[in-house]
Amino acid sequence: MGYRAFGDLVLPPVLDTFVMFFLYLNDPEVLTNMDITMKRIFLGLSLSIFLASLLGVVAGLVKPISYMLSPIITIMLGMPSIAWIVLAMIWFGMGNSTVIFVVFIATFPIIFLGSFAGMQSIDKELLIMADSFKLSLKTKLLNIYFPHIFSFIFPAWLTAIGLSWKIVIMAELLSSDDGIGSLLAIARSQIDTTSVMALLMLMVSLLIILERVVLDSIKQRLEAWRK
Amino acid sequence: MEKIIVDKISHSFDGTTMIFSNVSFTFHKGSIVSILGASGSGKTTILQICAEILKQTEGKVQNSFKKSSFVFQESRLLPWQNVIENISLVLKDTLLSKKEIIKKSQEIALLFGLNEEDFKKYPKDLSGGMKQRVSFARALVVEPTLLFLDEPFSGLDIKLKEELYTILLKKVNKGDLGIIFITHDIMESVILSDEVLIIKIGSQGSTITDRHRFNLKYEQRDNEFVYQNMLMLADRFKR
Repeated sequence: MGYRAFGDLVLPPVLDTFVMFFLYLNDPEVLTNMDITMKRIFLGLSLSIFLASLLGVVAGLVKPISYMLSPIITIMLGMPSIAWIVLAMIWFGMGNSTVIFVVFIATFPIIFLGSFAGMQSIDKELLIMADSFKLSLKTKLLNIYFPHIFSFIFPAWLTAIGLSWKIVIMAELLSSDDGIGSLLAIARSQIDTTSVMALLMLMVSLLIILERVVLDSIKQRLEAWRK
Repeated sequence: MEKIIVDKISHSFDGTTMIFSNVSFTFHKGSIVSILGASGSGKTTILQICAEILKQTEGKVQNSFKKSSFVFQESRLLPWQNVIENISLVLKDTLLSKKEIIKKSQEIALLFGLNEEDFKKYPKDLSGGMKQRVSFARALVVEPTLLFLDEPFSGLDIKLKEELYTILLKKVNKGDLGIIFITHDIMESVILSDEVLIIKIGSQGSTITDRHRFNLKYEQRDNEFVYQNMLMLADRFKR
């Protein structure tokens, strides 16, 4: 429809996009760039998932730390991602570290808040029970805190993953000469709408695969007790 | 002899209003003491202080019991763990192997009338009575010498109550266990205690106003005895 109304500069024919998409799947250059992008997402996200989840737990256990962190988190939440990209370009220059840093810093507050909210909503009566048996901190963490905060932290992880997908493209487009984002920048400068669409399709399909196959099975396993 | 000496303890949550004051009693292994009082009289707080969950504002608690555990009014099971996992939770910090922990948990679950097909069930699939069986099993799997009961029988049917009484009394009669329990049910204190402490709310917070010791053995307490003593306690409780 859009293609009929506005021509192929605005919206390319669906068939062309699919053809390009499958061509890309066999194109070593695109695959290398995809690999680079995925590695950046992976690094930035893992760092943020690990540190932010951990810090959320610590802040939930130790009140003063939560008071200390709360203004910082608010600032991080309020900062536009594009501002982080600009700052990161100044601090780290063009390339890998800038992209990874931006993915990390943009997803950090979301995960932290998920983890912290989980820690705060924990059933105090269960904690009194644990204390009455004088359970160690390790046993409490593994059996009470972690299973409980999972239902808070998991949606936060999902949001963070979705966000990282968007951020990485933006950061690469502006500050990197490799990765899917930079391919997008090239396609844009050549006004090659078909390639733009095919690249977007590539990114979105990867996200769908990750979410449906990997994350859903983790969730099913860990939340079996709810059924 | 393992014992607990509670010496003139008082407690206040906000530093001004006293929940209770000047509460003293002594208690030995192999016996049962019940604290009888209306709701809001600070019974639970006294129990939690004895169990070292809370720290009293004033007074001293000397506890020489080697191992204690707690059963609450609600079962307080972890919803994400099944029956056996819930029981074995409290053995996680011991030196026992995983296999031994599971074995002990299963044995105690059977003792408390749970069936093998219940072992893998999650708390939401259990009835209130079953949950409380699990809660008792969890408390006793650590082989405590002192057991704190915070009205765990309220809301259970008579048959289950009697079943639980029997298991507990057996352990107490063997001399392995002492029980401090709080209740507002007079009949429960008559059936299940050597000594009853009556706690009442006063102007300085609650305090123990009266105490009574039953000298008859548990197995000799018949309906007549229970009835007579209920009337006696009810009378003293109202005074």
